[in-house]
Amino acid sequence: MKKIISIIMVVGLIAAIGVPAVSADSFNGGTATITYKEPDTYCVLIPETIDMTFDNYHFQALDMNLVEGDEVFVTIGGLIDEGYFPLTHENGVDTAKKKIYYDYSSVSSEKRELFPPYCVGYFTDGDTVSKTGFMMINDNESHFKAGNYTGTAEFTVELREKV
Amino acid sequence: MICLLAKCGNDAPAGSLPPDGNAVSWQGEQSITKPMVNNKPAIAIPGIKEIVFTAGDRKQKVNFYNPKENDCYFQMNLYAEDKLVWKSGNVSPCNGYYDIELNRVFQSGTLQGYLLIKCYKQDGAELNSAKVKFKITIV
Repeated sequence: MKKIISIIMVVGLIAAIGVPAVSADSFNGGTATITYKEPDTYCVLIPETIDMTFDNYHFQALDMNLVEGDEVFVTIGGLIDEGYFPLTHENGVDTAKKKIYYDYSSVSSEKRELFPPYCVGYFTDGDTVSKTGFMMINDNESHFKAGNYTGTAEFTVELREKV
Repeated sequence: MICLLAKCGNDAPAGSLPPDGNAVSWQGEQSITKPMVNNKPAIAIPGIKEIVFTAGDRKQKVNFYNPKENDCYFQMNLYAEDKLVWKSGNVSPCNGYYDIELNRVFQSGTLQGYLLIKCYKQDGAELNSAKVKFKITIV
């Protein structure tokens, strides 16, 4: 008797597994389009501090995985006297200022016109080094007390989507 | 037969291999090399394109963190339309936030936002800071 019950259960189980959820007659087939958009990811390196020796400084990125056409801009804030960067002597008293010079030599003039003000770094997809840079230059009449000068800046990092 | 088997194996049995004298006792992973640009120490700032908030709720999900490459604290301040809506304490490298509580709730819409990241050395010395701009979408 047990043997018969076991056989009936096995046959029933096989029958249950074998029945498709959608019968062949009602299945029309077709394709599904799955769309997935990988979002932009980026990570920019900014200098810890600013000193007088910044010469042709180009920003670097640990990651710059952007949608084609998207761009990342880095601008510098905290400037005084229309484009000068303030620095403080290591004695904590004396101050100096250096003019920021923007190196846009590797981008077209049309592109430069679209840059935000005080743009010191410009990246497109895959760039590990910014296409633009900056340096600190002395005015002819500038004369500062000898020693080390440093200052801190606020860098603004912004991704702009392709228009 | 034994000789044949021996010839088919490695040239020298493991027991006779000399250990590499240059290898050191493993003490766990060493600290990552700190980022440098133009031979100057640098700070890694993660970019943000957009964050999405839930309307009518102070509790929100984010991905704000201080990258492991850094050697400084982050103090993060979240602004929406130039108003401070959340701030962190001192965040060490490798730490961050998945859940934050804002000081207000938002209705559905889109806002301009930014995360002001103030960077400090462990001794409290102020370093350069970064303002990461992005769009805030509230749904």
